[in-house]
Amino acid sequence: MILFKNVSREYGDHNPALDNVSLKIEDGEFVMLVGQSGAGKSTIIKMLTGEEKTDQGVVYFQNRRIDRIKPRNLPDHRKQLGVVFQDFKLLSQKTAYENVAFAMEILGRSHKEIKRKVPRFLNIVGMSNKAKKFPAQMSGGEKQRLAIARALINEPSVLLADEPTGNLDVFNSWDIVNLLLKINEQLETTVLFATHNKEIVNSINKRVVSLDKGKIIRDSMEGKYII
Amino acid sequence: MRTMFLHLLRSIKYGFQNFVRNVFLTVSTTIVMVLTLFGLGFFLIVNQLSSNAVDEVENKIDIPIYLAEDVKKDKAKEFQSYVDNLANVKSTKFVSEEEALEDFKTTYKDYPDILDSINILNENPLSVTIVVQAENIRDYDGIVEQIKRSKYAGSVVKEINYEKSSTKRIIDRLTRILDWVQNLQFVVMILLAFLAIAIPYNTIRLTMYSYRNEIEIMRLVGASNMQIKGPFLVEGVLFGVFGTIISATLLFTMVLSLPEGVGDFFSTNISSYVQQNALMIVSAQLAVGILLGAGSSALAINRYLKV
Ligand SMILES: Nc1ncnc2c1ncn2[C@@H]1O[C@H](COP(=O)(O)OP(=O)(O)O)[C@@H](O)[C@H]1O
Ligand SMILES: [Mg+2]
Repeated sequence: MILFKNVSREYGDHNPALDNVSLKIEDGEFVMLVGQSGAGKSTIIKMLTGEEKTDQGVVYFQNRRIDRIKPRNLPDHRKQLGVVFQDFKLLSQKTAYENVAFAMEILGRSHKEIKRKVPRFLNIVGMSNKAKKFPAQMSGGEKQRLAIARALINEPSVLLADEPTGNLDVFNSWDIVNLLLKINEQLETTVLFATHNKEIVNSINKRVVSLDKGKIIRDSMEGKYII
Repeated sequence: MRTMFLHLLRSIKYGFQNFVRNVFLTVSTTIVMVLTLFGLGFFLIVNQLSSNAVDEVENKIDIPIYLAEDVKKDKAKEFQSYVDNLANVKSTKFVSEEEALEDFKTTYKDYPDILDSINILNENPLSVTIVVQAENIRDYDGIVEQIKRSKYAGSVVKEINYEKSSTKRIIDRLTRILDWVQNLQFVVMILLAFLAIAIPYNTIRLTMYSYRNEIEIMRLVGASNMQIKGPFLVEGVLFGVFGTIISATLLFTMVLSLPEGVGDFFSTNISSYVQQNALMIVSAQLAVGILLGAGSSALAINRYLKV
């Protein structure tokens, strides 16, 4: 379960990035976080990854307060999450296989386990035939599918996706959206999907949390993109 | 425990992988490391050679102390052991009247006039001489001063003929030269040490800067600081190791192919010196290389490990 309670955050003395945000996400939910650029979507995601702190309010992740998490506890917290970004954030010096394997290695998984599991996940995202390729040799859609395989490999309970389709064309975007939906249905992974893509939001009938200038202006099941 | 070992193995594996895959970075960093370690090795050799040369000159210098004619052998020996026990005296030599005469004759064998004037005398005009060698040429003034203030002055010692001697002038001039050489050595050493640290450190900092995105990504997927640092530390060590291998090969090839005249100039056999001290030189290079490589990596990477 993810819980934001009256969370505010201001960068410098400008308008608030988040303004008294309260939000509860149950296990297994698929939640779209929508709003224009600058609305505060990434700030919410970053509070969950521990990259940002709150000015006011508290954030819980699986019943644990994480808004004041200590740097030395960050790695263990992040190992429970899957993260996907607009710019993929793949390790450029590693092949597709090694990028996914890396996420298992930092958990101290054995070589045998890694060899068994990584090909399976590459297969799930349709990247089996690119296992030995480096990110520079992949298309945007392939990079994002690889990033999703890496995010899922340790079977996290929550997947955070910050504009994962932002750099992709329509066709590849739908590919990714369908993959995220499938993951949510079949693996029962909670998915928090930040986007400002109107078509996608309107087509998939999931819970939509709308942000504007750091405020939640609407939160509805089977919602539409209204801004 | 098992996972620690696994992480260590993986750090080593990825250290090698970075080293092999980032050809440009690896080559440029290794070249800097090679130059640094070559400089270090070269400095060690030149330093040793010049100190050999100084020793050589110092060994050729000694001062004679002439004893009075009537001094008995026991008394002379007693005086010798007194001098031997003075601080800074490296060695003494007892030269009897007869030996002194022999030495005198060989020294002036090409000057029949002088030899004749000696031979005219019926008895040996020379007295027992104690030849003193100091540890360091700067010590002669002090040693002479002490002897002059001792109870042997005036009775046992006839004269020290030091202040106005040519030896004194040579010693003074040599002292000035040595002071100058030592100052120069000190300056060069400081400069080298500065360059040897600054250049590899900055090169490795650039390397780490180029890895900053990778580091951020590793952090985001939950790698701990040690898991991130490990491979870069290993890579730093590899810069040191390969830098040592290449620079030592270059250095030894160069020194062993020097013409012999160079060694004569330093009055040593350079190649045998280098052969005898190869292990010391390589160890010094390796230690400095690894310390610099891993140390620079660790320092440089810390700034990207925040947040
Ligand atoms: N590191 C930062 N420094 C200053 N302002 C920031 C920083 N990150 C975000 N902001 C500001 O906070 C607001 C919300 O940003 P963000 O959460 O990235 O929005 P979104 O992801 O919805 O586009 C914006 O006005 C943005 O300019
Ligand atoms: Mg954003």
